[in-house]
Amino acid sequence: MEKLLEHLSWLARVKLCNYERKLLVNDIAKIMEFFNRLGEIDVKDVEPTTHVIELVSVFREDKPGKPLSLDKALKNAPSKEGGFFKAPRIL
Amino acid sequence: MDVLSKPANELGELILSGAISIVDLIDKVYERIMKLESKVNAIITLRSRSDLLKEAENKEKEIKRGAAKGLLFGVPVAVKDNISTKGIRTTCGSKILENYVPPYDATVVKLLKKEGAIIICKTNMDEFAMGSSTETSYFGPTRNPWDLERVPGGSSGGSAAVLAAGIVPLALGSDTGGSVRCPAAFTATVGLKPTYGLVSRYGLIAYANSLEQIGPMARNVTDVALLLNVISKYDENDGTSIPGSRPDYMYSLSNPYHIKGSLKVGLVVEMMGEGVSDEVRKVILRALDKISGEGIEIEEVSLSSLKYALPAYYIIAMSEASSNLARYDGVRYGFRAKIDGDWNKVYMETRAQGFGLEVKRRIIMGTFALSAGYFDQYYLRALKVRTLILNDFRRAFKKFNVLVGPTMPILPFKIGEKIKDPLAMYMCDIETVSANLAGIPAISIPAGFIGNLPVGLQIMAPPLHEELLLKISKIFEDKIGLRNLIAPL
Amino acid sequence: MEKLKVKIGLEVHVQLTKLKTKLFCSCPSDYRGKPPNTYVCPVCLGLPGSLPKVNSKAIEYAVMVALALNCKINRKVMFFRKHYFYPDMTKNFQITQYDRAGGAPIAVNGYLKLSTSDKEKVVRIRRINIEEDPGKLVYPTGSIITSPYTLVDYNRAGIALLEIVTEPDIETPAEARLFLQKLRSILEHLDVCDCGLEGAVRTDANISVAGGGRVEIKNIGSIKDVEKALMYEILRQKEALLKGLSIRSETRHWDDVRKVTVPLRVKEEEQDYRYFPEADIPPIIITEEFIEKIAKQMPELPDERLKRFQREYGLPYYDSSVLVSNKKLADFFEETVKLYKRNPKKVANVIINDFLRWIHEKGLELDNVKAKPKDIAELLKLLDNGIISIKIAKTVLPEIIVSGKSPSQVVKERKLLKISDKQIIRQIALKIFREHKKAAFDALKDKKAINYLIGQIMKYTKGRADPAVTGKVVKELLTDLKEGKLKL
Ligand SMILES: [Mg+2]
Ligand SMILES: [Zn+2]
Repeated sequence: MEKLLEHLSWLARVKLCNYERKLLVNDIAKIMEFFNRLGEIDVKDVEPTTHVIELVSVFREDKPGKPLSLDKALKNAPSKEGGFFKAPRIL
Repeated sequence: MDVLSKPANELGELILSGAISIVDLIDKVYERIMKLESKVNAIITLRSRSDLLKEAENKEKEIKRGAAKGLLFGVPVAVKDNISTKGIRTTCGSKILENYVPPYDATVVKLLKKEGAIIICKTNMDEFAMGSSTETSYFGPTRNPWDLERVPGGSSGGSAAVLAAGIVPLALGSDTGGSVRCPAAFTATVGLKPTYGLVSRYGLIAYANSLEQIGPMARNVTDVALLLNVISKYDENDGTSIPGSRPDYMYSLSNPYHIKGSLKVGLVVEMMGEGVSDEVRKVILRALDKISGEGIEIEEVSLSSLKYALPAYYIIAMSEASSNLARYDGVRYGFRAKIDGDWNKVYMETRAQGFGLEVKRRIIMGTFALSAGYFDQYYLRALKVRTLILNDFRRAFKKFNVLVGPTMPILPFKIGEKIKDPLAMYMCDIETVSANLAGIPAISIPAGFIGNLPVGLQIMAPPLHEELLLKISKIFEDKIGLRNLIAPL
Repeated sequence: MEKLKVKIGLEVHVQLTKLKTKLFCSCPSDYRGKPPNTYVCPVCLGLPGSLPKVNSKAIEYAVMVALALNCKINRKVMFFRKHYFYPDMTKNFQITQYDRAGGAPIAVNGYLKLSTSDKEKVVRIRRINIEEDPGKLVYPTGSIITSPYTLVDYNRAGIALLEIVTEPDIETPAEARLFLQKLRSILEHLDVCDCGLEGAVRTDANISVAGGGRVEIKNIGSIKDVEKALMYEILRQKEALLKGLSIRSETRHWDDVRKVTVPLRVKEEEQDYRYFPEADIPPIIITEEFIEKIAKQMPELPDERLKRFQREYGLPYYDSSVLVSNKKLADFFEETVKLYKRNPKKVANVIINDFLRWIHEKGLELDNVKAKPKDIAELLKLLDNGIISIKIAKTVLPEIIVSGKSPSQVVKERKLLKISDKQIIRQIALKIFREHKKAAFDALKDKKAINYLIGQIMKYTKGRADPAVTGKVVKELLTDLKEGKLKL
């Protein structure tokens, strides 16, 4: 379970501290058991519901609208430079 | 005249006729917030007094010019803090969005403004709407105005609390698995989760996008209908918005008894079974007693798939959450951890510091349910169970006009009582999640009290039958006789 | 070493550059050359609460491409989320298509026929997806390795892409090039993509040699580089096999400066994209009528055009196939023929043999060639009317390609008019005879010397002397010399 949690923490990109890890290892087991209840029900030949209201896509016309101003686009950025968003280095 | 206790549907007319001054009204709202907020903690962001008064003055000028129009002209409204408001910070109850100020209005906010409403504040909520108690908010828990030791329900706890505290007559919430109905039930207010696609989600910060809807909240059924009139509109910005016009819900309430034939109400046995406290069961049965008779037949009905609604809901909701919350990486907006490191390291640390425990728990479990090797067993299976639940509802609605049950299985609990046990908290949603899975409209109205603790009655209708649902809710409200309740504070 | 079995599959990302807006929002799509982050909105920035709305034209274009590639078009199309985390992704998932949970990409099971020198080759198309482009990363030092931080421009984020995936039917790098050239020509004939634009077509190439591991080379920007990268990879893998090493499956990056492939990820881990249906976009229903309507509006495609060129202009297969391999070239040819109807074959010759060669030599693309079809037509007419010689024509051509001046203007400015006046040529010839007395006398019995003399005259006149007249004059002078009528 610790290994699974470690893997999920990386896969979800959520770092966990020791305290959280201790709690979540316990929770995962319990929640998995809770999820496993679905195993009791027979779903053979049942179609999955991906969209609960049966709609078909209504399309948008290919007509340009007004983008945000640069100012507004960057306003909430924690870090920026010369009109760019500034992100951490990749490697 | 106590303007703060007036229902919105009366308030609007009094304002337009000049009987109530908007400036005076807004002043009173502000004063009441100042008096109660430290006790209740229902608000994350309150607009400045000067901004509010300026808007009130402008609106009064419009009245004098004869230019005032709108269903909610001058009416104060509170908006849940996961609904984007242009220029007003929108935090979703999270540290990660503590300083986020949207550059655009959610469609519902545009509609509120168009009808002349005055947005007073952004209300407290469980972080990213993940919770049933408003305890997971980064900004601290909201307290239930009926008992400050107890939770107001969640995740729209702040919206429910400002209603129950007599601060504003109308509020917007959002309901992913019961987040409008649960706090309505816990605060003796009325909250509606509309049919999926009736109200635009554009601007609603997603938690689980296939399940959630913005819903109107008020202290009586008529005000809920009024607010629904304002916010339910086809929106071309939301691909899941149902095309076409919407009925006038207020008009349908003008003669609620005009329903052809006798009304068949199904009491869902799965909703009255294990996990429902005796007190809640007692209050619900007593309320149904008051309702039945005079062309209203109440009969028990079984929807056997509902037993699986809760795990199916949590699998779907957590999976979607893990995806929807992936965007919080601290690059374009929001909090970023102040550490040196590469992209993955900063991303992980940002989320470690920016999200609370419940959010992390759900992201991790959702990632699990979608991950290679588990998708079919969990996520896909949950979608199939969703189909079974949908079918069960369809069958039941062939026989019954509406289905009823308790909104919450238990009474409002004490702050801190359940927060350490996630499964116990998830169990609170047992009555509400099936309406989200089925996409159907569901409402909670006050059913009665145990002492000073409210119990909510949940009523569910077929998709797009909000008109019927509101009519029936109005009839029930009349018969139960609980409306416009403000907690003694 | 015996010939090793090579299997190549391509994954081509094609921007639908002819759309006016992005795939899911109405931001304008002509982001090239615009200041960073000025073509963005809440949707393509992935702001909380924003929702995607599908561009109708993107579906139309995708159906056109699917029809052109002989695909089966799915009637119910769904979008999916594909999760991977990178700062150029505004939501940290990409909205794309997938075939799980009842979903399907827009088209599957097609093929594209290539004609190589010795055979007809069929490359099967596995599927076509519609998806969104990520933004663009800028490395301040120019290198992903040394940059202390990354700059991000989201103008490109949300641009509509088609991902066209082949089966591993391609067997050589040259076939991969042919496939891409033909695909490009089809896309241009459909008028859905201006493939010459920077970054409009990006290819991932999968290759396995002799049953070794599958190596994926990511994000190759040009057709030429795809060929080069594959050649490099075959060589690299062969060498490794010779050394007895096994080829492991991995992802490599094409370094287009050093022209080598390099391993992309240091820590190789299994990708887990966690695809699941995009609930924000209801299924797209593609009706029979819709497909029929599009099919009726389909423009002429390269294969049909090739046949028409053979039929209508009497061109050989080779000429026709070279011309239609590039829509702009084929258009150029047809425009020229309109203005020079008398001999389409001659037009084809000039375009294929001379025009294309010069474009290459000058390092140009058809797009930035200044010469227009009317100029080529005019050049041919000047030639036909005896105003310039073939030799002059060949010097005029490169100049009009670069300068955009008309052929007659170049001829006038550079005094390149043909000299066909017999008297003038006679005088020049006499001068040459006197300067090359030995050659003149040799010419009485040696044919080579005659050509030498003619060459000298041409050199002196810079090729302007009319070859026919010159030949005649030289012949007459030699007769006179023989008969003693001419003293040197
Ligand atoms: Mg792709
Ligand atoms: Zn955009």
